[in-house]
Amino acid sequence: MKHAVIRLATAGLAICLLTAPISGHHEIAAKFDPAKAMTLRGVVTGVEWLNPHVHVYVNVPRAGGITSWAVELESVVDLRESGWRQDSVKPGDTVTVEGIVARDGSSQVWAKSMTLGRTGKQVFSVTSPAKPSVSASARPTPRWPDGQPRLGPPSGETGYWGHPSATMLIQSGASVQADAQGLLRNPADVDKVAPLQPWARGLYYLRQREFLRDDPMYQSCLPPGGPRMYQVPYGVQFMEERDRQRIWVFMGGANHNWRHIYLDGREQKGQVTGDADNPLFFGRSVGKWEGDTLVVDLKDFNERFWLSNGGLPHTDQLHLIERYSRPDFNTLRYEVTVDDPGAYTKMWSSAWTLTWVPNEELPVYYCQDNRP
Amino acid sequence: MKPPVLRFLTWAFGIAMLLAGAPVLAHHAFTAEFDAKKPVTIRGFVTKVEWTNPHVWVYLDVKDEAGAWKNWGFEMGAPHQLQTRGWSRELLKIGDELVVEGSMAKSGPGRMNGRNVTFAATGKKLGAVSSEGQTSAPATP
Amino acid sequence: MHHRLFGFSSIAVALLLATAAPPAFAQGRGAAPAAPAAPTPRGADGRVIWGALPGHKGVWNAVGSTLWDLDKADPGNPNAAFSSFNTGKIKLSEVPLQPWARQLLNERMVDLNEPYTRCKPSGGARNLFTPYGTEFLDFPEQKRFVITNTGGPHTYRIIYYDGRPHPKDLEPSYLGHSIGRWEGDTLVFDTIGFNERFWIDRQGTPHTNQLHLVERLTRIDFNTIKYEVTLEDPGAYTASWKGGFNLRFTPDQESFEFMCQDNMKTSEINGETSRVVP
Repeated sequence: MKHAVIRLATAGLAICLLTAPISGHHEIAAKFDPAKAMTLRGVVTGVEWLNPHVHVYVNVPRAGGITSWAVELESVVDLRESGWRQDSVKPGDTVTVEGIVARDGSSQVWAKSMTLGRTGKQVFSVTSPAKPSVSASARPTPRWPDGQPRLGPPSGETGYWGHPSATMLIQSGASVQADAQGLLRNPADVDKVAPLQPWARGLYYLRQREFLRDDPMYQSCLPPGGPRMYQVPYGVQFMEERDRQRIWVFMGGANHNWRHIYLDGREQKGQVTGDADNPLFFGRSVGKWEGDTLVVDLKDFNERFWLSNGGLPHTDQLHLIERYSRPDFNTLRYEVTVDDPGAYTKMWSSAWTLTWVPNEELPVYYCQDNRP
Repeated sequence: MKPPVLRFLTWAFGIAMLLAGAPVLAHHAFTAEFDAKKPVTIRGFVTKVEWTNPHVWVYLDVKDEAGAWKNWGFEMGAPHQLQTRGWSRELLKIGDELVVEGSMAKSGPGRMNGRNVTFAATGKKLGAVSSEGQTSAPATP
Repeated sequence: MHHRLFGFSSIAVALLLATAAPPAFAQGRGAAPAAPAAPTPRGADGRVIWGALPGHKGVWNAVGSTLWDLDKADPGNPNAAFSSFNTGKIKLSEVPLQPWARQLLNERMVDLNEPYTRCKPSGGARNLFTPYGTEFLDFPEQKRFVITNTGGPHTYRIIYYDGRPHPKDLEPSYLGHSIGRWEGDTLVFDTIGFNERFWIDRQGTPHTNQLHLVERLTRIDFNTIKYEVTLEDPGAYTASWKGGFNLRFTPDQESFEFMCQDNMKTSEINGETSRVVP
């Protein structure tokens, strides 16, 4: 099993990745059993070309009839990126699938490979998009005329922030092995991840033992509030409305939502005709620039989402302090301090970077695509 | 007293505005899920409050004619709509006795859209900001 | 003397008169006509300001729910609130629907089981009919215009006016791909690349993935954005047709967080399930 150790000198954290980071959207092991491999061969009856996961329906002969299998693959975004299209496989094609079977006994399989009968070649394989190569002398931080760093592209250019250097929230200085969804290789490592109170540790451990099955983002397309939005696939863009003292944060993935960061010095409360009475998924964000760092304070979170890939718990006492900086053109550094006296024994921090993806727009992805 | 012509035109204008695509505040269509031809009133005790978007849902234990308990859920408007109509997140408590008037779900008993809620203890009656046939501010062409 | 109001034609005339000049009549007895709206606000650079003035709040909400007017008032219809009558839009009978599309619309108008209620982003006019606050953001430096919604899927839509073409190999999407240009203060934009998994208005006016829109947005005064659209879809219509409506400025209101998925019960109530999702 391949693994890579990535050491970030500045952040002082290390995560061993279990597998190369394919942009999966939920923990495959939540639905499928890695220990139950199978191979099936049959005739395609349909291709459901939807996010988060494309499904190919295959009629497989069995004694006395046919079973319709649903073969689960990566997202439309990822398959397209790897050159596939909806008609790469057509109804009537014969395919052979090697994969792992659904835990609940239904006729669903996660495909590790799919081979097209008429060509003998693999189809719908996904290679992770390469992180943009960064030349040794990166361009300097782009700035507004008054010198403030730009969080977006300079005039006339486009791009977005992607490729998080960490896809799991873990306290600075700690080191564990985990996959790209935050599933720990060793569930006993929960104690290393963050200074959890006993009840929270128990919950985190349970979520991990159940392979992240109850992740609200996976179950119900609930948004990735807090730091998680910077660790899920498909990136973010910041659009700064300087004359309104407001920043729009646009997500490419999850539900393709937006969120605001207010820089106008307001209190963290909503409006009565708005969300005042309704604790939020993204919290209330107020920020100010301190030199070249945007410091943002967030609170008034609800408890209906997971704070991180892997399911670190939180309560409605959650208070975050985010620090955004752009040390060079291609690098967004994100630091977060987690202050939740309901779930943690003390405040703790984590940090990672995002990389600029030049000349591209945010992918268009909606989690709710393949819901009824 | 208004001259008759003006009175007539005011009436006519009112009808026009009623029909003229007045912006419905609800985010979704009532008729997709509920049946206006099946009015229903229930009385029961709050067991759960889901104070969420897109619609607040409240669940009651309701006794039917045979004396058996059945849990009903009723839908109200969104939190931000309810806030301006006298509601707040804390207003409903588990165990509160409510009378709810509204329309049954197309799927049958057990689910309904609430139009009014009366608190049995105080007699206080609040609108539920139902998405049924709402009209609001007049349209300006 | 008491006017007896019988006869559709007299009512129709009355309604026509009433809708022609609502502000005065709406005030009731002998009130002064409403003051005209303030003019379209502009920044120091002369460009139109598409939102509230800096330092102030406000969002936009569309008037109406469909691109067309019913031919006849239909007060007995529980879905009447979702259709307008006599507001100056194209009449439904004039919309050049192909027969299958008219049949589909008839079915949709009964149940109104639109994908929007299940949190699907919805392009075309439906995007602008999203409640709770729409914002229009102009970013001249990036040469793009962004439309954001508070309600429904709480998402955003980008219109590029940097001269780029539509991509050749466009993946169909809920909101399509929009490219535009300015004609004076009007943003004119061309949108293609729609999937068929949403409705373009609240009654379910049909479309196919051949839908091609030419849309126009103009802030005609402080309180009003005018939206006009020419629809072309050889899969559903026998000819192109035009629709439009206004959006009204709602001052002192801001966009806020709203998550359709928070507690979405439509599928549960309707008993709809999916084989493959949780």
